[in-house]
Amino acid sequence: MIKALRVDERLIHGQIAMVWSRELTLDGIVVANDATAQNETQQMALKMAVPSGIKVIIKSTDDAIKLLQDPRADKMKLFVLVRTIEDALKLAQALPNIDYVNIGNVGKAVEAKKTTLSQFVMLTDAEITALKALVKIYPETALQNLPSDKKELASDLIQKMGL
Amino acid sequence: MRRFIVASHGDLAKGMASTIDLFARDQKNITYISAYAKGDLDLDQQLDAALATIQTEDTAIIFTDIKGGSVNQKIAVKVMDRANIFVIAGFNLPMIMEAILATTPIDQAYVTKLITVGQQAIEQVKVAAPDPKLNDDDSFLN
Repeated sequence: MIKALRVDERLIHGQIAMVWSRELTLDGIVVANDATAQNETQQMALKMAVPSGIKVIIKSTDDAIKLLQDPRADKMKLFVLVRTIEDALKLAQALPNIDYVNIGNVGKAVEAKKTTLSQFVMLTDAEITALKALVKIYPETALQNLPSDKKELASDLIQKMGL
Repeated sequence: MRRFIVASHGDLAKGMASTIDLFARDQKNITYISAYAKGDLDLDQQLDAALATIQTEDTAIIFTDIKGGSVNQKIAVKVMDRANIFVIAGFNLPMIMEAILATTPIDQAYVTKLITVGQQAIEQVKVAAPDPKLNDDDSFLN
């Protein structure tokens, strides 16, 4: 089962390795990112960050969807990481049983016109459009950087900010 | 209650506060003491104030930066008669993170384990060439 799908432009990093993986008690981490699936050096660096005892796999978004549709994936506690909201939307459209869609760190590294939703989330217009579509599929989609932070529903923010 | 103090020469402890905040926000059970830093209070005053907040029903770990330093010496003497307070010299981030995120009661066995966590976290970093077998669906799912 997918315990959480998180949008995080840093993919696997300190907050994931030390805090989220502990909170979610995981069997495996699935990174779904087309560029990283093609980049061996980046894969090596990401794999180094994974705590021992947790499996990791790095796939293109299409291959990650195939993997997650395998019935055996249902028996594992999985944390799925994507880099953009557009990728999260693609997974959400294909996968009906995600426990929690989480928006973590997005947009700091993106150089384009952005709207700031929170200290950790800055979205381009295309990402905002994707977020609106994502919220229709998973209404509980929330901004939450760390498990100890309060969840802020993306739908509330979209409404409040008139996005 | 589980309580922690992080104490250092200069601003290392303050820096630790800023780093911990990225991983575990609003930790009310940690006190950071930067000794001899510009504008800070006298070290004895800072230590006494922090130690006074640790009640007999609390258990506490004090992390100091280096065993041979005066910060560690002063603390060791101040807490030597307090069985509920443990002191670990030579802290690192993984050790403090582990202590903060866990809920295990603090006792001698836990302090010993925490030291092992900190020691094992220090390792040479070598990037391993990827094993293609490890990235196939079957080995992940089975």
